[in-house]
Amino acid sequence: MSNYNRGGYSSSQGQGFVQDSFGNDGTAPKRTYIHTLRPVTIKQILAATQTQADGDFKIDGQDIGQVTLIAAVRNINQASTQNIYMIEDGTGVIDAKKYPSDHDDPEEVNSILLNTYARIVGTVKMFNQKQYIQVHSIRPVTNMNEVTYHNLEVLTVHVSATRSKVGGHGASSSSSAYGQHHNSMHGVTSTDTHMRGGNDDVANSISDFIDNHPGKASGLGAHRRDIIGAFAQRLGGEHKVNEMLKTMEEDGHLYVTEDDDHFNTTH
Amino acid sequence: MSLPTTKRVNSAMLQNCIGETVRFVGEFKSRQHPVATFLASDKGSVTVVMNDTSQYGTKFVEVIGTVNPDRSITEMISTNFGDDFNMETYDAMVRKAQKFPSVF
Repeated sequence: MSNYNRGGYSSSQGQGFVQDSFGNDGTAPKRTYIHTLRPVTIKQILAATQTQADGDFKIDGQDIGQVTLIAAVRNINQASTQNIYMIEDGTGVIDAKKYPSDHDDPEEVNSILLNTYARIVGTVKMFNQKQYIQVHSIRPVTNMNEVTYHNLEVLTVHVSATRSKVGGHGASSSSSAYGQHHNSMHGVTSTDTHMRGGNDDVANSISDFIDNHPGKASGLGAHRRDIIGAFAQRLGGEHKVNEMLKTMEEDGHLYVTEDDDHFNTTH
Repeated sequence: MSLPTTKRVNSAMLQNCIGETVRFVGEFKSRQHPVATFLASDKGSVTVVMNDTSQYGTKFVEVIGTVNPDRSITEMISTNFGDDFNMETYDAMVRKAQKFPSVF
């Protein structure tokens, strides 16, 4: 679980969904468009907080960009300007509004039937004190295992967002307990935006180790000997650690500083 | 139709939901008017009191309804859940979801 970046941070994950920066309600795009896609329940949306009127919504303290959910369509209101779907997923009810767009696949849109489940992707908005979803895409669910999958994904992201919070976006881990080389290794895994070691659990740990090393502040980084001391047992030998360091350097996650034995993270 | 919030349940959870509206997914086994029998995700047997709209088209069906004192469910609406629905994973999900009332 420690390496799970599914917290909606990276736009390259998720449903293969590419977001462009259009503001489809006609307003100018916000100063920094949040490229995240977060799986949620309607309950979470309704409980989402807004720091300022018209501002971004937060769930579990995280700013949310777009949300994705699975819900049953209980009412369809087709007006000329937009379709309004009343959807519920057992945790709450909300309106999902969709403007017709050139990108739409008419077959898909027309196949949303009453009392069937749909996968909805959109943005949370407020109107008259009530949240609604501005729909980017809506498609019928064809395999109901997707319902199970979605709920599990919601839980995973929720747990990830509320438990292993170490530092914020891009800020280096503020783990205070760091003292011994070997201690803080396993628990400290940042849910930070960047894929700091790639998809590898150990690589992320090495990156964390360097970030927490006294040498980080000066830019010197951590000495190879220190890294070996901390990871040799876990990786199965000094040569394995060296291999890993070489790979991480080649992949651009680390760079050498004063000499070939000092490693720093590139972030 | 406006529905209240509904918890996903398996057969073991019905005992604690008497009077509540729940969401139950089961494997359809048989029907004998006015009731139908389902196998729940935790392998328990559940009785559903059908209504006029009850038609179970696939092997697995989701029934939304209220739980009676005898732990049967009086159906409000049902949805076909297909023939290849994984009950083990679903059961694990249902049980896990219980632990997160802020989300579900």
